[in-house]
Amino acid sequence: MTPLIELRDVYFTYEGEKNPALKGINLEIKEGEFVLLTGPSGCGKSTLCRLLNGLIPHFYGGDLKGEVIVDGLDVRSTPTYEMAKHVGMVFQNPENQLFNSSVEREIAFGLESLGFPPDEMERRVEEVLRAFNLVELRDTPPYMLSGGQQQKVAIASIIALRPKIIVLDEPTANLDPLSAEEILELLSVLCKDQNITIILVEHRLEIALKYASRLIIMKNGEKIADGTPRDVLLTKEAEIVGIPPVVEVYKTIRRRYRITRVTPLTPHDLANLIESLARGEGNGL
Amino acid sequence: MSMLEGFLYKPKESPLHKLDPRSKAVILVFYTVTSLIYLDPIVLILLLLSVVLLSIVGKCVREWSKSVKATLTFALVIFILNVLASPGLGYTYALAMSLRFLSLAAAFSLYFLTTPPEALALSLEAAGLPRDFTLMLTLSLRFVPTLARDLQIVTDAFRSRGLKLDSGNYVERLYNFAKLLTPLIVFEIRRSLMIAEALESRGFGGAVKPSLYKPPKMSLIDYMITAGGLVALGVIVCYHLGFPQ
Ligand SMILES: Nc1ncnc2c1ncn2[C@@H]1O[C@H](COP(=O)(O)OP(=O)(O)OP(=O)(O)O)[C@@H](O)[C@H]1O
Ligand SMILES: [Mg+2]
Repeated sequence: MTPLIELRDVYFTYEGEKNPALKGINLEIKEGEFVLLTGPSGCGKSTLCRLLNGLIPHFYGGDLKGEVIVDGLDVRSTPTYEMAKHVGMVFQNPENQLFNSSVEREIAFGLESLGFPPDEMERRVEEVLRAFNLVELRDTPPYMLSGGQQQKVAIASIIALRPKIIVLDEPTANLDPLSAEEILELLSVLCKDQNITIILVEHRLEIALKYASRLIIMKNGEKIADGTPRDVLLTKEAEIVGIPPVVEVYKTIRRRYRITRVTPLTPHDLANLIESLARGEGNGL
Repeated sequence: MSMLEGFLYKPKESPLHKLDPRSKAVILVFYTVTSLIYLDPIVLILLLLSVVLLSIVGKCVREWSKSVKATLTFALVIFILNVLASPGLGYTYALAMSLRFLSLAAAFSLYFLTTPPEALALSLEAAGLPRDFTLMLTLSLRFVPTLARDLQIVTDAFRSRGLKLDSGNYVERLYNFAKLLTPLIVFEIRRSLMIAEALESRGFGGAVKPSLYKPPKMSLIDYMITAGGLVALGVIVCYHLGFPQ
């Protein structure tokens, strides 16, 4: 299977900057993956996101080297409005990405921009309203909604374009933990039910990990770790990001009792692990 | 501020609110043209009275009278200036000039009080204006409260660093307020970049002409009002040009 997203030796330097924001990125992402992208502030996560939907190099000028193929398209020669049909983008601040007078118009906005015929537009808006449980809010102005609902509308409005990929740049940063969970849950359902590929930038690993099938860590414009969350979290490279306490506990147990188990990602996993250890199952105890 | 309020849309249930922005615009053009053509105080007072009636129909007498009250001062200034500047033309002329200003302000205030800006933008787009333009209109209105909040944030940040904004003389205060501008402008430029990014990501600025989701529809009454307004406009203009003879 050819990968849905393919980056080969990608370097990017913003116009007027000396240091590249991305350095030698190689990346292959397959359809249906749920990729969690993390790393310290300024490491190039947003830059990578912008590259995937063509904002780089079309909106942000600069020097781009290497090859970037997304859903079979070369981002260099495909304008952003064309990429919009393949890659949906959700940003951190909901209020800067919602500009319409009602939820239904918000959802229709992308379709309008791409010149969809009215009947097709109506069909898709209704479908998305129903799928996202927004039917009752269809006439509400998005700026009157709560932050969580706003991000839901932002996601709904890109789903209307039926992209294969959704890239979300810290979508939960302005949300309370409960709303954040809801959004992540929603993404997970989209990924599982519709096989939509998710690329999520998130600092709070403890809430996002359990949904991810893959974890990528960046530092200073480079990709320094890439693999399943359970593997990556145990590496030395992962120590630069906030490792969830659950994993820290497991690492301590592992060191102290010299046992190896599947890395727990949630308190629930950890409880199970401790229980099985207490029952004396396995090695070392 | 109260003057601006008189021009901001107030959602209400009234026949005037229900009309399509386009048919209302025809009437507004009729008012504008008439008050610009005629310098007869009687005609202008009649116009003004009819706007009063319409504001009752539109259930927004209170808001509307606010804007009229605010423009009254201007009307008075216009009156005095006219009397002083062109004494030869007499009081009637000066009165007509200030009435003209008053009736124009009154009509426009009523229009904006009863027309949601997004409906206006939508019907402008339906009438063929490019989306770049209508979007500019909706965005600028949409982000007014955001801008007000950003200003508050910047003000608070400066206050907490000891900038005095409530004391000192006018010059000092003005000077201190000017200091807020730099961060505020930086703030808003960054915000507008983020908005532009989001717009692009949703297909805005594409090669095709945007289509319209649920384009505004004119009702029978709208068509009748438009037709009536156009006929009235025609009659007034012809009459003014001295046609029938
Ligand atoms: N528009 C821009 N113009 C110039 N330089 C930029 C621009 N945006 C980002 N950079 C620089 O590129 C580097 C990577 O920034 P980027 O925003 O991608 O990091 P990030 O990982 O998203 O950080 P954060 O977690 O703070 O969002 C930083 O050094 C930053 O200063
Ligand atoms: Mg970022």
